[in-house]
Amino acid sequence: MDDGVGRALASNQRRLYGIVALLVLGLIISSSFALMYFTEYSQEQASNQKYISELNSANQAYEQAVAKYNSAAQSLNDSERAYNGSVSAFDHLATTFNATVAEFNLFNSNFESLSIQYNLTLSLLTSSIAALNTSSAVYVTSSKELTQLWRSYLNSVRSYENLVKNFTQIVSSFKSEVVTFESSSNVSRTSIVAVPTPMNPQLLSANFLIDFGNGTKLWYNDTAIQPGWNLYVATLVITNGDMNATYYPSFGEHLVNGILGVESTSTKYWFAWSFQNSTWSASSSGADLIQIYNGSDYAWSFCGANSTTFLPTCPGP
Amino acid sequence: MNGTRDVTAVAIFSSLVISTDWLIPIPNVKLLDTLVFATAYSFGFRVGALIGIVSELVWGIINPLGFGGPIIPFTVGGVLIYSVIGYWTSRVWGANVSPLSMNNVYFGALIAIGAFVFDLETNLATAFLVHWPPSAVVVGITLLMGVPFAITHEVADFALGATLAPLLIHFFATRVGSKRSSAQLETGTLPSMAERKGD
Repeated sequence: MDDGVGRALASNQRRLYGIVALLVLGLIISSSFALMYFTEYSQEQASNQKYISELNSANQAYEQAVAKYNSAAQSLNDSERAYNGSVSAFDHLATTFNATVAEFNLFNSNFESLSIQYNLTLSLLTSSIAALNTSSAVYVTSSKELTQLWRSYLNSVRSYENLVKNFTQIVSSFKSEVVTFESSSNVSRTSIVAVPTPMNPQLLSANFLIDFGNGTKLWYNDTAIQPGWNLYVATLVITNGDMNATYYPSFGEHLVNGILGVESTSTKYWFAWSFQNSTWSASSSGADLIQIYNGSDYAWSFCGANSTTFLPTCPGP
Repeated sequence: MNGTRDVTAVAIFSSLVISTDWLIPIPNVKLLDTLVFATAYSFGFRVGALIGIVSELVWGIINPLGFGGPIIPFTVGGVLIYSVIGYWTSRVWGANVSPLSMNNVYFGALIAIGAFVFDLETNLATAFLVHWPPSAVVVGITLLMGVPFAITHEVADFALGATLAPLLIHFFATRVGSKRSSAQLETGTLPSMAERKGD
């Protein structure tokens, strides 16, 4: 009888020790994973911050160059107002013009380095996001940073294009003044006039459609894209990261489960399409493998799938 | 005490560990941890510890990645944790271990905890040896860098320990005759620590 009680006690004690060991191991492994992901997250954050601070300093340099150019353009305007048609006044105007061109060229080279910095940061951020699950904390932060960065880059490009447009007008008006001056005073000044060298940012663009399958279709026409983007990255940017996707490293692809809050169900899924030869064709690969080309059309449609072929049952968006 | 049997056990199992270390070149997946645990369980702390020491010494000196250097004393010292855990487990569980029961999971967990202690100790030693005098940041970074390897080690030890440890202990008890008590084994009544307290 006593022996039986002793055995039961010993058995309970063994079970207790075993359960404690399992709990301790569970704690160790879960803490290790938490620590590992926290470290990865911190490193990702730190490198993103580094790129963004480098970008900010390039941005500041660019803004200083813009300010200098604006002040030079202002001096040119003042000189033009003070110009009275005399040779000395013209030479003063030409000197001011040349100084403005020098500032413009400097501003150009600043924009060029800013553009390089932006493209580098965007590429790094895109490649890090392109290998993440949308549920991870890093993705949430990085996708917001990517869309903000992309918009800020587009704004810079637009402001640059406007400045170039304005300066082109200044140059053409000055050139006509040179022609007028040369014909009226019978002297040649064409050789002393500096030549501005604007760069062409050449943004690529494509059209995107999100068809929710219930009559709602969202078009994102003429959307600016970066060379090398795939449909997954482009969708991430146009939706501000509002996607639900699982990354499969072995395939290098995401399974897209949700776009703009509309999640896949047991009967309806998100399908990627591209417009080729005047017709929409469903993609047989994941969005990550669909390269975006300038001027092309791409779509997502939410519809049912054939149970055997897994192809979409809808004819296209 | 059977000296000849102990020496034989140390020789056989050390050879087995070293040869499997060479045959399975997957980092952090080693038979050593489970074997030291199981032998310490069945033949006592000393036999388990000797198998661990001999195996780690040989592996540290003749290693495909090169001579282990000053880390060897720490890996040799660290491996004793499996012997300690194996011996302690034998005091609690006794010799009557079924090859397939909840004990598989418990033993796997105990060996995996040993892996955690071993990794912590050897990673700390690495931080101190490589970056002497180490700062808290350097120690922290070294420990963090070891986390993915530690997880692999713990998971591998859990899987191998849960699968093999009870099987080996049962085999030693029924076929070889463990140190604990052959006579008591025959009746399956080897007393555990708790049982002895109840005596």
